[in-house]
Amino acid sequence: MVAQGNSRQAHFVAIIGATGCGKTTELKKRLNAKRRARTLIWSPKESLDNYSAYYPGAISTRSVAEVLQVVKAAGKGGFHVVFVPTLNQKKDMAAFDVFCKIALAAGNLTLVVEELHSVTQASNAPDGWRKINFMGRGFGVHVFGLSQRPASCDKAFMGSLSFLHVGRLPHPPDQKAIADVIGIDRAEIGNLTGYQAIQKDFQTGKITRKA
Amino acid sequence: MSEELAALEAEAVAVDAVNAPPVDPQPEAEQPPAPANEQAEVAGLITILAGLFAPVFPSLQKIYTPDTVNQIAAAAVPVMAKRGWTTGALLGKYAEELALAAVAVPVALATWQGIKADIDAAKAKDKAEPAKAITEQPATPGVAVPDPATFAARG
Repeated sequence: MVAQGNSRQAHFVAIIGATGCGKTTELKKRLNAKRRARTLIWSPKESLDNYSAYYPGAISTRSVAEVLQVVKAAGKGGFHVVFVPTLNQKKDMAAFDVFCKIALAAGNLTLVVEELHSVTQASNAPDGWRKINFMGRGFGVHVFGLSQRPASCDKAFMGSLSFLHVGRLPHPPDQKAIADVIGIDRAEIGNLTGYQAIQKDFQTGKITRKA
Repeated sequence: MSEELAALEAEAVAVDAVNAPPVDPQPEAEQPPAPANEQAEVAGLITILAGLFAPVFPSLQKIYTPDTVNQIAAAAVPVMAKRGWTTGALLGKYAEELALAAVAVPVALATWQGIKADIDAAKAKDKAEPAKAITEQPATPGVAVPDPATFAARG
């Protein structure tokens, strides 16, 4: 594994908010912003989200070994793999660890993690995910992490962000966690309604409020 | 890159082994048939067997009445379930043998009855013929035949 270089721009995007606040719309807008030939998608609610239909030829699987085989067979070529976890947290954290290690070993890909809080905790995360957070940029891994519960997402990810999008959040601890990351008052997050959102570009420090 | 991916092989397989879904229960089609059907099949089997031997042992027809057969079948079904036996499996496995038995057993029994009757008839004939030979044999030439009246007069 040879890193492509730390000169690469970080691409760690968090898309946060309660269900129905427009997270998936925001994600797809950002995925469509560039051609993505290699994607790995962690999709706990695949029956609802249907990511496997998003990229033609995408493979949907519940087997980490199959993810590995597809990535190995592709070499430097393209692939689109959707992994559907068990929804058992202990089992999923083990699978997520290997899933992330595969992503890092493959490099040059887009990694989408739905319901990030289901496989991380505020102060704990699988080794593979922690490696993605502190080494992913050098290996060309673009990360999109989505969650309804940012207070349960690991600090390593929140500390690596290059961009944050947050919609309405009803739970005060989640409002506080995100307000602290953005550097705004918690009430601003608490006042978000409908599809309103606040975005922060950590490269420039610019905060945008979307009505 | 390929070396790192290859190194993950064991980890991936181990995770899949732990996360594998439990084995699905046996499909409904392969489940044992309902007890009622099983009881009827056992009853049918007993009736057939009793019928096979009825020509030789007519009393079987009086013993194995429909009620008796049903009672035996009802009691046999729980035991068969406990042992994992089914009439379907039994009839499926020995279907040819049972078909042969259904045809051959009555013929064999009739044959046995016929032969036994022939033997009995021959024995009866043999038993009757020596007695006749003794009482009806002709007198030997030159030997005097006693006069029954003379014996009677001598007291």
